[in-house]
Amino acid sequence: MIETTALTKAFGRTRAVDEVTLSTGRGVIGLLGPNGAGKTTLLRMAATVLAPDAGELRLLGLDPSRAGERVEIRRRLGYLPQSPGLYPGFTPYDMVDYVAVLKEHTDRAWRRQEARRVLEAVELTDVMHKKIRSLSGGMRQRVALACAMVGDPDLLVLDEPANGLDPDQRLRLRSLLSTSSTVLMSTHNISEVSALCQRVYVMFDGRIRFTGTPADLAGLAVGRVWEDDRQDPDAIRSWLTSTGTYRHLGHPPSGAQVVDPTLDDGYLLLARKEHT
Amino acid sequence: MAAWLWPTVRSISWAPLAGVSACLLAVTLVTDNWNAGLVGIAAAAVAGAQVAGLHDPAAALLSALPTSAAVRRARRLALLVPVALGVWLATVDGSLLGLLALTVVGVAVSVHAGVPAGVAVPLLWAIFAWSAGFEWDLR
Repeated sequence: MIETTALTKAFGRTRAVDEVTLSTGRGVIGLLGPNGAGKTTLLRMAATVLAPDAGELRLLGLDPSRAGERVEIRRRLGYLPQSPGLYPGFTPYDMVDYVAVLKEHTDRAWRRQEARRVLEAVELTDVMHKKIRSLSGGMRQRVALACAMVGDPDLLVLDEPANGLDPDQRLRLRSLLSTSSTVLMSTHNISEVSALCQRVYVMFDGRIRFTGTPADLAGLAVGRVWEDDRQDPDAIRSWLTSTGTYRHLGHPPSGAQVVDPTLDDGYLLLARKEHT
Repeated sequence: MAAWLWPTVRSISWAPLAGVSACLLAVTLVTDNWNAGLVGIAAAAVAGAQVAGLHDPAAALLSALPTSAAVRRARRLALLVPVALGVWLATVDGSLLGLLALTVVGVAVSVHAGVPAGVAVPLLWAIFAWSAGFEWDLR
């Protein structure tokens, strides 16, 4: 579905994406990394919005650098950017319908049906005729998500799709995405990754530093996490948990109470390695 | 009617063009004498208002659709330009050439540097011409 070879994009002297090579199949793929790691730039290239400076990119078996193939990709692609603007004077229905028009769907009856379908999927049918300016931030995010889902695309590229969603809506998003064909999504929410993604890529400084399943990522921290009543100055990272004990990452001292690692532990350990 | 027409009309921010039109109408009511300086400022204001109408708050969301940004921009211009020309012909006693030149430059700049820069260019040109006493007769 998405194949890149040494994909590179620079802004001035900064290489936002630096020779990234990846190949994804169907399913939900998570992209993790700190702010400025290059996730959004990579997603924008995967959405055909940004052209790479170097390397190869193929989406759905097509080459987005060719104008004709790019249009074909866009017909089969849904994209949710990090800051999706909307027209405040439009209703959610108008917005989705307009996206369908721009997706070259000329049949009005089909558009009406499709607008209902996607707005129902994001649970916005009760406000679909209210002006967007009167909707909450979470509802606007769901309008944008509905726009990305128009036409049931083969490939969904989502930049922080859970932004502004409440826990209930996050769960709804999970079930929505789990039924989609291929989803490439960036997120800071690690619980989303463990619940949704079949595969995870972790980016630091424009490069992919980890590829594997969520379990593989958590597995990086096996034997490296322990809990104690006191802070441990030798630990790589220590933090107070809700139970009142400290959780430590690093090389456990002898006799330490080693615990099962979570995805957060694996990610934090990886992040720490990158910065030492 | 093409399906894109009405949503495009609604997606355009008409306020800048409406504001400039109201100002031109007010000037028309006050004076019959459209001197060169006034025509230059009017041309810059109308050109800037047209470029301002290209601002698309949903551009990021619509950026990966088969209908490209260039086509969407062209559609907006197809709606904005006739209105602007109508306002111009109804109010200003001056040549269309200066207006068209400033509009083309503003649109070109907006494509490469963003709408705010595209709006600024005709306005800065008018300020420069006025402050430098530049002979800029567009009548």
